[in-house]
Amino acid sequence: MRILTNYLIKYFNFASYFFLFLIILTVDYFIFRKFLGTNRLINIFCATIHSFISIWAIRIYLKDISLKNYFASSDEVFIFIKKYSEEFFLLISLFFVSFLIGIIYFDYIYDHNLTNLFYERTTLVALPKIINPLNDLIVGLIFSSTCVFCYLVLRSAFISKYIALILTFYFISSPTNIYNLIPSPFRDYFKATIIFFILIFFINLIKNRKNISNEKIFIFFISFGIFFGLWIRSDFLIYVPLFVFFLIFNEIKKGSNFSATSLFQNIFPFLILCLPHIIAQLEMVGDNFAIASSFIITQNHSLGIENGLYDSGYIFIDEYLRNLINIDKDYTFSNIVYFPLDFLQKILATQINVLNLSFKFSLPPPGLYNEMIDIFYMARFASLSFLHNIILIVFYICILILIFKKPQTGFMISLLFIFIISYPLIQNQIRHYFYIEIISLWSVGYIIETITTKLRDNEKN
Amino acid sequence: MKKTNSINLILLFLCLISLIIIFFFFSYLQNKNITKIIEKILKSEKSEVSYTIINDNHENVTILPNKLFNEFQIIGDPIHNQYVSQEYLILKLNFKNCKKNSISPLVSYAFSENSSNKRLDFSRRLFVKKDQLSSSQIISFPIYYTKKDDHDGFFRSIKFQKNEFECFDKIYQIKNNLDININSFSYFGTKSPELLLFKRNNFQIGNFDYNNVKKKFNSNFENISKNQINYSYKDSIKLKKPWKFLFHSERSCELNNCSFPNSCKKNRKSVLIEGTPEQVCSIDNDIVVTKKIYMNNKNYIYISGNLIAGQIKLNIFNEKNFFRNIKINKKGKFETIIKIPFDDKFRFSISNNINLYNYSENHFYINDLKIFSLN
Repeated sequence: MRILTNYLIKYFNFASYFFLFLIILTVDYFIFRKFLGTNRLINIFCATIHSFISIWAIRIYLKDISLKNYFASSDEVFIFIKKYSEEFFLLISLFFVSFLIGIIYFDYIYDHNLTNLFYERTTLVALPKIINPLNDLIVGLIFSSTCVFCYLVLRSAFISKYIALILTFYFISSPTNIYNLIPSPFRDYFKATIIFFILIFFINLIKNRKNISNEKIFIFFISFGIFFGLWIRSDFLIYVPLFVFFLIFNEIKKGSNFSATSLFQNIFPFLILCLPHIIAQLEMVGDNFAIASSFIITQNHSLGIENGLYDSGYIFIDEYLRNLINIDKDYTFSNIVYFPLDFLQKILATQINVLNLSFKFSLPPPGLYNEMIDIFYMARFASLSFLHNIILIVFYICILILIFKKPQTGFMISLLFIFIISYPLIQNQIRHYFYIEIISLWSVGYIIETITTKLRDNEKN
Repeated sequence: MKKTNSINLILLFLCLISLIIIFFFFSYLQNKNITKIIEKILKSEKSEVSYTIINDNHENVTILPNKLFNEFQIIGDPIHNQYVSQEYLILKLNFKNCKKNSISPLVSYAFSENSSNKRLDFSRRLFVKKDQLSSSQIISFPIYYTKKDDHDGFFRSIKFQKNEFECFDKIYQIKNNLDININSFSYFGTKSPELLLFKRNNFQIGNFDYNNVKKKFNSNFENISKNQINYSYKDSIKLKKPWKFLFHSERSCELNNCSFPNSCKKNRKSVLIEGTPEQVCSIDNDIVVTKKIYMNNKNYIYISGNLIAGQIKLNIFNEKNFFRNIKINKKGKFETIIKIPFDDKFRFSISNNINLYNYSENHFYINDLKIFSLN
């Protein structure tokens, strides 16, 4: 074991870069195919060149950072594992439980031919036929990774391990979370996995003080997450300005050490990595009717807004929405400019709607007809439903407590969370935002955490 | 108090003040913008549209405007082989001519002979209240002619109930419709939007004082019983109330309406009479539909229940194009009173109003469903 660990430390860098190279190559191949056509050789050639350049840029950026900086020998690895053994055990348990739930539900729906109970995916993302028999295993893996990342996001955002564990089990059993796994596991659902992955590093970047190595690792993982995410869905574009904003903040918080060069150094690997995405986005002609759908009255009804006696669109049908944006190129912009109060109201309604997700639904995921499962979900609903609507207040109280406790960190985490609960305004279907119930669960966890800490402190005094 | 905490408090206070200022500023700006748009619509060059009147067996009056979309003017660049042309209509109403307080005409779309793409149906039912209209008594909305592949869908007619038609005066068409600030703008009166969170859970259909009427309810009522129900989902109506309803993604037809919207007619009486097309991936089938019940204008229907999750619609309609409904979309107990507008046979229905894009659960109880008579 010791020898194996020593080998791991020794070859970790090489293995990691090789693995990264393969991922970048795969993503690049498909991205280049979008604008270079279907000539396989040209695509592979361009993808390989870009992958090498990317690895070179990452190596320059992460130079002097290696596993050896953290673990000089195998002994230190064992000490580390021993120290966090409980946490590792929880993570492994979470992984296996969620893996089983994901596989069982996915197989159940497909075996019983119940896919008509779900929304219809807009874009089919299928794995190569050769690995079709492994579909359910991969779906289980995606589901369990999302749940493990959920736990890690909560842990990063100041929630203690047992509260984080309970909240993650609420997330695992969430009917909307399980529901969204079925129609589009490799696209719409996988997006949640990557967003959680990015969130972990966003929060840790905000929390990080002065540790340059950690800062670089966090920035690299966010860059890589966005790069990978843009392959899955172009919605990840909205994380780009957020990323740049946080990089600027990261420099500002260094005070007098603020340097534009350092800012450029941090963004450089991201630019190199995302170059094919940038070209692909410039080449693509999107019709953006999905964003337009946020401004029709149907969306207001879903958000619980009783409309005024005017509107700028009324049916959620693609063809109708295309008419709207075809007639008015600035449809979205015009709506914001002419009806700013409605827009403000929509932001608030979106936040309420998204935060209420955890506390709205009482039934098991579709297709499950079992008395025991019904009872479990009734009990789950009873334990949460009292927070419906109140959660908005709970969330903002948590934000205030966080800002008062840790002004700089709290302010940035608050901005991040407020951004996340608001952006479904332009991504208004549940498949785009179901995972945001993590923010509601965080609010519940954080308020419990604050109360228990206060009680403990009082007892000590 | 720590210095940082004081700064935080000041910042928080400033944030709140800014939010209040922004709210009032946006409110002012929006009202000003709407007034501007309406003024522009009213002042723009327009021509009166001639029309043909058709009376049907159900005492409905349909107007078929002539000479609209004479030339199919392609607007913008085609997307997915879809071409559009738009006209903008102004309907001049005159409530002095009729004894109604509100009207609900149906704006209907049709297809050309060989077209079958029901996604090009953009019909809508309008609801106009006399007291919410401005002094000019106009409503305005755009209409579309859409060509996609070999299919055509276009605005065809406006259908009124016979006694509502008396409230209709004239119809105009704007000449330079693309000059309106926001081309898709429709206007039906003046009322500010409300947020559900602050909305009361008492609803009403009809013009009356809710509390006053509710106070006058006495024991003289008729319970709508099982034998007055024409259809109920999975025969879920029992003899005793409350009636409990649980839905999960179950639609009327085997057809997946994410792929084939507007193709299913089974158990969708309310929505079909409403005339508004189906939203993609929606579940809008009927849950309960009563038989035709003769009621007079002194009758009220009272419904109370509890919405646990989802959204429902309470509908009242007859066969003469009378249709009113309200959406119950706020969780918790709700009460609704519906005033019967005139003597006739009406059906009352409860229908689903959920969408797979917004999750598919509908869970609610109906505690009371009664007809009262106030003499």
